[in-house]
Amino acid sequence: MNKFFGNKPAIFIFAFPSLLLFTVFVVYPIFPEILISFQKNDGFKSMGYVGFKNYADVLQDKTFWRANLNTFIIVFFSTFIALPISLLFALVMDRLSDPMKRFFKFSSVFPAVLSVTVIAQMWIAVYEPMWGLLNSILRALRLNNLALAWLSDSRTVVPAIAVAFLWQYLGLNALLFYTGIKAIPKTYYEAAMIDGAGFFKASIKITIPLLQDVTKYLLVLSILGCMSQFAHVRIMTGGGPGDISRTVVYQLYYVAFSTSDFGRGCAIAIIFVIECLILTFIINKFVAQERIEF
Amino acid sequence: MVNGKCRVLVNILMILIGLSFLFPMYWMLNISFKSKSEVYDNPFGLPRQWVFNNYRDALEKFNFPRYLSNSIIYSAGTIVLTVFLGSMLAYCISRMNWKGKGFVLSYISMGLIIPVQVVIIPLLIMTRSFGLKGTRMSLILPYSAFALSSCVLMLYAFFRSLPKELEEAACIDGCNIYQAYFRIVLPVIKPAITTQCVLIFMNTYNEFFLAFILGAEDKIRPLTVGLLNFFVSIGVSHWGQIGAAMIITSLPTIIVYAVGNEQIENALTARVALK
Amino acid sequence: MRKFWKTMLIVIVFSLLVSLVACAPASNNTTPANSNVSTGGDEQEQKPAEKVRIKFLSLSSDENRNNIREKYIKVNVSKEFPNVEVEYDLGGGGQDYANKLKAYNASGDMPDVWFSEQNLSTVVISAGNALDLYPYVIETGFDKKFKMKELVQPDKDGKLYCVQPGADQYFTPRLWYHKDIFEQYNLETPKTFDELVSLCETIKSKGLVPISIVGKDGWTPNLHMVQTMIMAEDPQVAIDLANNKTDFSNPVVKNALARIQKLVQIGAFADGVTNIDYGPAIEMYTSGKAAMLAMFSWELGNLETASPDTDFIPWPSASESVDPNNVIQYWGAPLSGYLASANTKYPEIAAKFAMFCAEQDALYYNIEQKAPTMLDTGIKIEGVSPLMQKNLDQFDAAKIKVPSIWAATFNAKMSAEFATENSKLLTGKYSPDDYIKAINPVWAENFN
Repeated sequence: MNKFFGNKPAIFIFAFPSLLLFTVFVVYPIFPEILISFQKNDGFKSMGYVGFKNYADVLQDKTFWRANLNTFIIVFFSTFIALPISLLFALVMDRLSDPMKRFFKFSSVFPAVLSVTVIAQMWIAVYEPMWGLLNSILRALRLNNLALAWLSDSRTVVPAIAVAFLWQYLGLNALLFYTGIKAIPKTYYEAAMIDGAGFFKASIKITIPLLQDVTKYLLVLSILGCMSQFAHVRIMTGGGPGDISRTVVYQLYYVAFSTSDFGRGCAIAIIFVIECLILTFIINKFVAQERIEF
Repeated sequence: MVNGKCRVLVNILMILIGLSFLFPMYWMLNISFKSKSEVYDNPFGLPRQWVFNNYRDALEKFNFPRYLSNSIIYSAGTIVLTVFLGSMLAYCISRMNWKGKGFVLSYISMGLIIPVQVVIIPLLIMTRSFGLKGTRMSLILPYSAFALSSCVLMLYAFFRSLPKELEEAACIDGCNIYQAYFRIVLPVIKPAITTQCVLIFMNTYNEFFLAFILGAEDKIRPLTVGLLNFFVSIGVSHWGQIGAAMIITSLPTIIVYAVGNEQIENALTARVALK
Repeated sequence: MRKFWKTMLIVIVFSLLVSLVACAPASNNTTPANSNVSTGGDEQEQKPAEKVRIKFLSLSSDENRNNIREKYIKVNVSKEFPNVEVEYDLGGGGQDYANKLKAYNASGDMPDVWFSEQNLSTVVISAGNALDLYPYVIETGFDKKFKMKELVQPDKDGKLYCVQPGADQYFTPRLWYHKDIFEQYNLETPKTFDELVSLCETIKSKGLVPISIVGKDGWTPNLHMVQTMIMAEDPQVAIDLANNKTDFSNPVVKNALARIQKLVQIGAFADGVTNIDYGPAIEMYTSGKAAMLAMFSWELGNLETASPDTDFIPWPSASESVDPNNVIQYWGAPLSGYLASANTKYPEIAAKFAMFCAEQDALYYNIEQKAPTMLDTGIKIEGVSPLMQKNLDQFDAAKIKVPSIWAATFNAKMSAEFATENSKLLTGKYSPDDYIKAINPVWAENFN
């Protein structure tokens, strides 16, 4: 058996093609980026090395920190609001009758199937201040004071985008939780039922602790997904008003492309990659007992 | 456990929430039948006057068959390449004995945190120097490379949960490792592969940024980019036609999802259950 | 197991097919086109049946650009260039277009011919990616077609990178308004900024949007409103800015910014203005939801068709010494037009195609917009509407004509940061002082 699994040529044939593809198209491009991050570079030519100046500039830039704050607001929303809601959906889904279950599963994943363009455009229409759905409802409820210009108001714009973005994947995450629940042997519940445990008690005592694996997996994926949020911001507000709703990736895109400062843009990219690495490390360290393969 | 009234209440609530997730579908269909001015006056109610021409007009304004076939080629090509290569690598990491496989797994996971926006310019230069510019491969290869990470991670978890007896039996039957892999192991993880196919299809079909920069020529442009041009060329003002175009472009993914959604769930369940 | 092998086989065959299709250069369908030419063409003086392929990139986000491309360039190109096949790359608009062009520029891989505005053109030119068109302009006598010779003069290095139709020089920002709405509510057109403010307050109280502007990315303030407000107080400051003789800390600039902020605060613009795009802004006006519209005269034809009760006033002044009829801002910039790539395989064809595009561009404005251009197409503009005539008369009568600072002087970084600051200004909560503090360092590097 050892010979079987230790077959050197086979290992090479199995591993090499994908590693080559991955290295060439994903990893290799990072190296020019690292070099550029130490240069003054406007995207087509380098004007010499400037040491850590780009990094210092980035770290002193208020907009960069604002972008970080926004990104972490989205991560926060995702971790502490969206994921628990998904979990709740999954728990309830488990108790539904079969046709209901099928309907809910189908509909809740539906937004994740559509393209970001469609979903973002729809939310623009929902948030539209004059005839948008949200404000129409608020006005019908006589809550005129709450009818804000959601995407133009600096207080509401980031949460508004976060809601649109997280809503799209709420159902998909619920489905993932649900598959985790389905895998739990029914005998556990039977024991609990004898003890007379209700829905909440059974969920808290049995289901949730047994969902650790799925939870870890979703936590990593959703946090990294939120970190690199770009598309919704780009379509819904273009980072605006001004620079108020930019995320880190948007800021990097703006600095590199719009202001033609590729040196600084690449510095942001490198800082961003480091941030993501640290975050994954933290999740591994504190959230997961067993190390998530990453 | 849960009394009758409560159950009815929960059911009603879940139906309402479920319907709210279908809202984008309603919204797209709804505006696609409205006239240019009605979308502004009556954005969410049913059309007062049904306009069916929006679909015809939208189809006339952009080369739908070409963009659609490009999108499908990209999705299919990416699926084939990613699943074929990714499953082999995942198998190799999870099963075979070699040094550095842990490292390779972390290495391939890096794909999850490298934003495409970061590497777009080196990519552009590279596709040109490989002579891929203007060919559909210039998009399929980067797509596959970026899709590899999540594909490998998921299939890795799958392979790990398979009992080793599978290959042992094959070994005794005199299979070599390739035969064992293609004949015995792959069929077992078919549900996972289907899931990956559906997921990669959704992602590739809906991808925008790379396609916008790399797919400059009209002949190789996918639907998402075609749709953007349609969007802006119409000045983001004729929402009726935009709605029609959104319906037309979303239809393929909706169909794939409607057909494949049970499969996805089965595969996800299988993965967890096999542990 | 057999079944599985079958599916695997199908998958592999399919993948081979896909990669074949995918790898084949997308140009393989030129073969039928070639045979067409050889059967149909009887006068092939150059290389027989060999079609030259060039790529052309232009904006696809506004109606004028699209019409020029679809109804003029595409229609007439086969007559002028029977042996050229043009690939049309649609670039979207705004930041999308800019980023696409910059990505091409960074990789050195420009389209053969493209359209760009001044701030993008300079990026490409300084990268050495633009072709000097001057020899071709002289050779073909293209320069003789211009009423304003400055447009086809080479720069101080003797190079000419851009050819244009010269329509821009006639474009100027106007304050359009619905005569019907003004009559209905008995409103007077404003002559001073204070009158404009009280007018807006009145209109707002009637439940209408006073002025529709394009707020997304700060578009209207970027393109003209900041400059308009500067010129309303002292046109000389705008001229000084254009010539790098003053900066944004100039008190006139600060007052101008404060005036825009004031308009935002009294509700002169729609709610959520920072998210309103070009199309919806125009729609808001033509549908009668807004009483006025701040927009350049290039929309005149479209506005007149959509709402026949449209009229305009020059922007009101903010100082007694300025007569609004006497000062005008014009859009034209020397490098806004058609450029060709320095790396093109067919420089001569690219250059000629660029000139052809400029001419088609001019034809479009002459014929469809009945607007004059500096490039003389030989078309006599007839049946000019009274509104257009009024627009041209006012334009000609104005004594002080200032070029657009945005179009003529801003580099890429300045444009981007200016747009960010203007978008913030439109929230009404961003003070002119913060604005100036943020923009001045960027401005200091603008002319480097």
